[in-house]
Amino acid sequence: MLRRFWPWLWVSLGVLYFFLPIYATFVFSLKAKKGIFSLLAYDKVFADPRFGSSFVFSTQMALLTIFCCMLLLIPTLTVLHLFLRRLRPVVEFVALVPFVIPSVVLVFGYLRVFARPPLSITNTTLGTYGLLLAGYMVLSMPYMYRSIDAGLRAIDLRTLVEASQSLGAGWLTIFVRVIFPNIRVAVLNGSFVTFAIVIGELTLARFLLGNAVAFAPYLAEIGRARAYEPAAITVLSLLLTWGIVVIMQLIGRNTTATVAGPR
Amino acid sequence: MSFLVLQDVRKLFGSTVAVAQFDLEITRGEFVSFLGPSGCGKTTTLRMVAGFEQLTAGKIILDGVDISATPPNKRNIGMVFQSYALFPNMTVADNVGFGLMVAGRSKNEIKSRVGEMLDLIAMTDYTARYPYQLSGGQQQRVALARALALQPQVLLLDEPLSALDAQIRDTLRQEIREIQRRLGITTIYVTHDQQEAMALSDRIVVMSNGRVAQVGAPHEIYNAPRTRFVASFVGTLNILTATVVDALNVRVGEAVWHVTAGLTQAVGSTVECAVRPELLHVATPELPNQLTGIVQDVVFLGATVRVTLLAHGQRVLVDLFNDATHAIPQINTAMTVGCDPRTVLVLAE
Repeated sequence: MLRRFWPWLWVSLGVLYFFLPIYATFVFSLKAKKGIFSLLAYDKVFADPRFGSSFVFSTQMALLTIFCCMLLLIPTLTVLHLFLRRLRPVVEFVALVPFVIPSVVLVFGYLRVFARPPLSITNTTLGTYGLLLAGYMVLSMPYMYRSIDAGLRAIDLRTLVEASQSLGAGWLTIFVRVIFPNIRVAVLNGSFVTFAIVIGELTLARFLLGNAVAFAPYLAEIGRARAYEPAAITVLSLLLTWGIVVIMQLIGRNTTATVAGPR
Repeated sequence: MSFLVLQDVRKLFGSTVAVAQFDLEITRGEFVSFLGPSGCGKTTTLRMVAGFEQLTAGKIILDGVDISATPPNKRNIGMVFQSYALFPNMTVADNVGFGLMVAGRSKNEIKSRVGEMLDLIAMTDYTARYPYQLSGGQQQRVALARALALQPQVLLLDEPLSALDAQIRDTLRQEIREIQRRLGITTIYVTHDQQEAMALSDRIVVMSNGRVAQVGAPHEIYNAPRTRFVASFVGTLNILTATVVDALNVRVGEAVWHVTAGLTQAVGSTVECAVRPELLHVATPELPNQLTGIVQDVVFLGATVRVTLLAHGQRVLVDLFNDATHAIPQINTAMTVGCDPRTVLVLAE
């Protein structure tokens, strides 16, 4: 009996730790009308067009970041695993650097280099979005790197590549048909974290785009002036983020990445 | 006419010589095994044929075409790996049809060819299974079918049975040989298992330290090893130190043994004579080349009995047929054995 008690206690504490703040936020968001529970705060949020546009913008940026990270990291890590194994510790260190560089330092660095001649990338909207995308990629790199690296370590990469080559496959076919499907679960794991980082990222988006374009700066701005709406937005953004993560998981669940081999 | 030629092939990894001056000619449809201990260069040579390793020097010519610089995906050489290397995300049918899909064959052709291949390996009921749902032996059969589906010019097998248990290994060994004979495909098989090499091959290439130690049919390698290394690596061998008496006789302990190979060494010099344990027999008055020793150990192996003798300070193994009408030798008793002079090999270094 006691053996069952302790695991359940720890699980319950974990659930409380995770859900209690969300529950409290949710309850608070329903108290916009004095004395009764109502959806008034949610009505106000939906009436503000910036809520939808900022969330869509951040979602698009998150998906683009995930795509670009995959495009950059999967081939890079494959090459590292296959041909440059000695460089792996160096690249691993570089990939972890974003952990120790605060976003504010990163964004001021960007502005110093890219907001003045000769580059002046921030003069155009597209350029600014590109810079923001690059910043998001840097921030999410440690997570994506770790996930993809773990995925590649879990398969017999060299032999699978050689088997594909002996069957006539070129590199594009190998990446699309062999490597990617076998590390899909790992890539998805990294993608979830990347998605969450981009949706909640404040500093880069605020300094590069201003207050209401991306979701996190919009949330921060609303939070300064109002009480109940930020709570409603937080609950909604949590639900939307979870919804998108579930959709991504559904897309990626039809995978059989169980490693075959001698048994 | 040689179908596959390895001409003065060399491979260096930094300053380490992996393969040194490897020359070999293989005819169409031949089954050749590379046999040798770990690190002898057999897998490196195979990987150079497959295109996974660049040659440091030399040429590989396939059907008259120099393929030394051809990338592996353009060589039309099938390969079966020790670890099977099936694609975990694909079913058995998709694995077997992968090469055909890459080659741009039609769906109907792929389906029909995959069916033929699965029929060949007797796995038609497993098309929708994933590799992790198969046993090791089944996985390796699928890997074989996958490599054969594209009808490659050469089939390479890199220790394909070493991860399997003994019973499956024997069955699959026979299957591989049968399929190879039926399709008439030129095959190179890498192994460190001499029994496997002997059971499968038309010719065996015994390798040591990156060099070819001997090339020959299995019975030639076994019965007439040219070097001490080949003699000791292939099968069990008694190596006895002897002194040259004249061109046709040597002294082993106190006995004089006759040898059929003319000795070129000086009289009185030391040579090494080798004889297989199964070619030593309990001495009869007519049997020449006798040797007496004390029985140290007797191991009953079913069909044979292995006796270890100590004769003139040298350990000698004798394999006797198990005959229920004869008593098994007793430990610490004297025993005299002898052999036909034609079975005594004088080893070169």
